Amino acid sequence: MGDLNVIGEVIRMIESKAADGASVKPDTPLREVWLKLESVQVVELIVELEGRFGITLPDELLGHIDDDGITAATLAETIARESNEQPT
Amino acid sequence: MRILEVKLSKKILPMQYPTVTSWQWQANAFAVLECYPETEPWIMSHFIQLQLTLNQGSSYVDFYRTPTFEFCPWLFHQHLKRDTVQYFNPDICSFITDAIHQGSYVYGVFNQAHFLEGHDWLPHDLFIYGYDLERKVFHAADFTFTGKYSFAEVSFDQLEKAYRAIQPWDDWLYLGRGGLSLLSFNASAGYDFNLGNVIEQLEGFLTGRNCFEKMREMSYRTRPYVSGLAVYEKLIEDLVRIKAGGHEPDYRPFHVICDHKALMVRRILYLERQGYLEGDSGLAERYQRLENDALLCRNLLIKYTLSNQTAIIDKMMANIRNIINNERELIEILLSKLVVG
Repeated sequence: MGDLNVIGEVIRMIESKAADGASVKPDTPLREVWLKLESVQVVELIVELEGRFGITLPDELLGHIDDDGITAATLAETIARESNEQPT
Repeated sequence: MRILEVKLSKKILPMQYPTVTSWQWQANAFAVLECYPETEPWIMSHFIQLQLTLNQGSSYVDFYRTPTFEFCPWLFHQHLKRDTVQYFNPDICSFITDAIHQGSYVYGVFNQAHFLEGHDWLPHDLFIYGYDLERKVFHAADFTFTGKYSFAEVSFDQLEKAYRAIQPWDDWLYLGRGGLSLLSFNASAGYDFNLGNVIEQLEGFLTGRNCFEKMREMSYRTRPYVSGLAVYEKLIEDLVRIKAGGHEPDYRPFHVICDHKALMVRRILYLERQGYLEGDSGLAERYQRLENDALLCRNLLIKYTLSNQTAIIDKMMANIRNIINNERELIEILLSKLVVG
């Protein structure tokens, strides 16, 4: 799956989890989305992303999930990297 | 001469989303106190010691001591039995709007099944901070609305039913004393930052000795508990039991530990600003990493409940040992660098 498709799928899954008509863009800080979710839902999303892309995300991500710098795009980049796919 | 006051058609008392969201009694207190910058020296002088109460089946971790409402000088606390409330005003909605009109937040147990879908019975403590007479709604805070600490509206009708549904044996607040608390911000209070108290608590965190034990008659009777770094050792013991299937995973203790680290970061920056610690000590950044480690533990335990991979528990135990070693070192450095006047 190309990088653009990864971003699109990540955004779709985040918006689906937020389930309140949230509009997520590649540069949306995910911290803003997490504020609307329970802690359990945030980790659920990570586990669902791992299952969807057949990867295991680095544990460190779970310790930095609230960082300002984490966006849909950076999450997609991490997924693409773990999937050994290069950005197009 | 008695002056009759006209009740406003709507009123919302100051509230903001709190830094500490691990337990509702702490979150409610912080939601009020953080509206007032003058409370910072008091907050920074407390919430240092952690306590893990040895309950069977689950460990209860909280800041020592709780509830904040009962010992914070910035909060004027009036506690009323339900019978007393009934005597003063049989109309509970009118009683609550009057209290808010006079500047008091109202805190008590309500059967929230009357306003939350999917529940038949949910007695839980609710913090009410506003009303709107025209729309007949209260503004309230709790974890129950969305699963995390949040603010919502509850209709007068629903709230009255939720209040009436609580019987004395359901009214578990304040260790079974129950009743309603009226809390108001005590603007006339004063508090000077207490460095000696901070040092004593930090030393107690290292040794596992609660320096407030000598004043335990001022607190509630508790089950046996451990304090400070010993809390982590007990959490590792819990993880061993979870891994063996003898204990249900509970991530809430780790949420408290995240909050504790966030407050320690804030405290270090406060100490630097106030000249008790040389600026740019680097301790805040290192404590920030501990906060991330605590968040990692919380999220790993949630991931374990979703995936049941026992390797996650092993990672958590290694991570907690890392927190113990680093926090011991950081507190020792902090204590050695404090400028005691």
